[in-house]
Amino acid sequence: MSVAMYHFRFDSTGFPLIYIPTVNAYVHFLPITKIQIEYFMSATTEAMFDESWYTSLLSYSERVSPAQVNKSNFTHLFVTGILPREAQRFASWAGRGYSLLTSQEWRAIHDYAASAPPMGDIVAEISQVGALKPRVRAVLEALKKNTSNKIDSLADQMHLTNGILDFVYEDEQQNAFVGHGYRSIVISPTDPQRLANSREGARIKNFGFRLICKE
Amino acid sequence: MIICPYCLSKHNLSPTNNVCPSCGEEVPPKYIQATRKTPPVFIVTVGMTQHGKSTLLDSIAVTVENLGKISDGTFHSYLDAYTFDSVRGIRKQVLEGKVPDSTTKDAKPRPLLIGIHNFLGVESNTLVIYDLAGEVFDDIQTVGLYANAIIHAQTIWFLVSLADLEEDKSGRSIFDLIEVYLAGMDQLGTPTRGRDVLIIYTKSDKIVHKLPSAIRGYMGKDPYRNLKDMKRNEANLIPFDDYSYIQEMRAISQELKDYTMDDVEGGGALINRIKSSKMTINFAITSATGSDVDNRQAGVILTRFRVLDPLLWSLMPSGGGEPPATQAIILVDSTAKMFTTGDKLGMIYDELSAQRMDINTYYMGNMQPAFSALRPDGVPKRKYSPLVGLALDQLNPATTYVMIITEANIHDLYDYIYSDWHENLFVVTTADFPLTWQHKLEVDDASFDARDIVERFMTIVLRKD
Repeated sequence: MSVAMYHFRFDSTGFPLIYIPTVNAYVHFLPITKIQIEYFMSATTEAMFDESWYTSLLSYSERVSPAQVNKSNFTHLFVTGILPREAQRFASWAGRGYSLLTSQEWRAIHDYAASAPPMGDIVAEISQVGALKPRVRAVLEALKKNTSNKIDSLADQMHLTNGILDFVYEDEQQNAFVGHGYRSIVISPTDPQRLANSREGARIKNFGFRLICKE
Repeated sequence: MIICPYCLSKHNLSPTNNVCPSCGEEVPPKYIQATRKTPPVFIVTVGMTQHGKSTLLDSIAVTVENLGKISDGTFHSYLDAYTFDSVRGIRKQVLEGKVPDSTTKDAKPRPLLIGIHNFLGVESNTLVIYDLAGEVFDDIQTVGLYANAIIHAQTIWFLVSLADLEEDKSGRSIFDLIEVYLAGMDQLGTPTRGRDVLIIYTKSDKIVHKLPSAIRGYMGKDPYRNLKDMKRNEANLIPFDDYSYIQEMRAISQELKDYTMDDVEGGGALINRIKSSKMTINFAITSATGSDVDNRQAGVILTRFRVLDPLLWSLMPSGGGEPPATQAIILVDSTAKMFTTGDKLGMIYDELSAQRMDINTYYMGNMQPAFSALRPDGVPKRKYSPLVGLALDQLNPATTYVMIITEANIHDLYDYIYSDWHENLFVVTTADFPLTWQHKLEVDDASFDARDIVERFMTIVLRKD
């Protein structure tokens, strides 16, 4: 077995988190997927997270199975159209120490990952921590095979910039939200994308989230 | 649903509505009450003529009647007049020093119905014992007479007197017993997988000199051999410690297995044949009279060695062996009105039970089994999303087959299309609902037939087995 390049652990649904030294914490390796949201729906006692809520989310981004993923629809593996406060409920359910990222944390993660080399075999690397659940493995393999952009760094493999935007807290006050991850000729992914309603957020087709775990 | 112990059909019976619509027999109210809480234990006893079946049954009855001496709070009940009369009849013969009448072929075999209460931590266990005629195994054509009993029995007791087998001039071996049984099962079209076979060596006093010392020692040390005649103060000194007793019983089963492999003609073939049929196998050894009845005088005090063991093997879950290798999951869309109306899920459950599957029911979108009592009963107030992954991710595709019952579009079914689950998922849906899946059955309310659904489901199970 080779020496691990990065350190991983798993959340309660079996999806991996990666250790990021610049924030001294574990962060979800991928944006939260629809599979994780389905686990949340099953376990939460909050009645609002029911089938009609999920169906409304799917209207923003159709659900695809790993076997159906191609280069144009791979972002449909991730949950989008979710509201920041709903993402907060997910974070509460995920367990002690989990929360949405702040803008500052997101940028620190990006800066580290953008300069870190990509893994040769993501599945093999993560599997050194423990056996991957079959569906988690299938998601990782589908993304590896179908991600359209060239993979230059760990940031690309984490889909920090080549997928959807992450909802984050604008600052430590945690009162307002911005988006991170959009990249264009003139916009850097670390530039916060302002929302029309920064306190409540809004359902936006290409906005998802990931969590940081500080325990 | 209650299984009628006489014809083995299933009906909604109650203590006040206890006439079986299929056979017209009155099902004992006590049987109905007890089996609502704990499913009955069906036992079929098979063996060649004069190998000691009826004598062992009598000895077990005597032991059951006296269990309360060593197990606080335990008592028994004979649940119908036939059982009461049969036990008394056999008892009379044994006490008079006569060989009990051999079980003879009967066009309508009746079971013994025995309740055992407050034993092994269970409030009420109900034994339904079919004592098959020895001739059944001389003539396979007669197996059909006992079809229902054989199909439903989880536990099969093969009673073998090795001494009598040695003297058998027809040249039969112990292996022939299982072959006739398996041929019978095949004739009835019933799978054997997951059933518990208990080989009981009877009349062991006749072969005691040939047995390994560990087995001889186990026989001789039976603390309950004189249970019937034991005084209360004697019994108080040896209270029944189920854990220790069963541990020792398991160890002796292994010793007997080794003995069978090494020293019994056809024994190795027998064990391998049972294993290849995916049945569990355990061994017990008894001596139900303590001496040969031919030499016994009337009125002698009988000694019964280890006659408790067959009973314990049968009352333990899965006959005390490994759990069935294959389990079936009913995975139901809780919004599927057609399937959750009435007792359709229960009917499917009953049909799967008849296939000897270890069954659990889940609602889609939920990680935990839906019913603690196993048999589906009602629908949840909460409507879960049509998701199969939450249940499937907890289960092992190497040993599990899933019947998915849905009237909704399942969000995550295709997550499993190229997975190990693909061949193990059988989707049952309504005729007008579009869903593409390799193993799929469309039904409607009018054509709903639980047996047909389960038969089709079993085709994927049996193909992979």
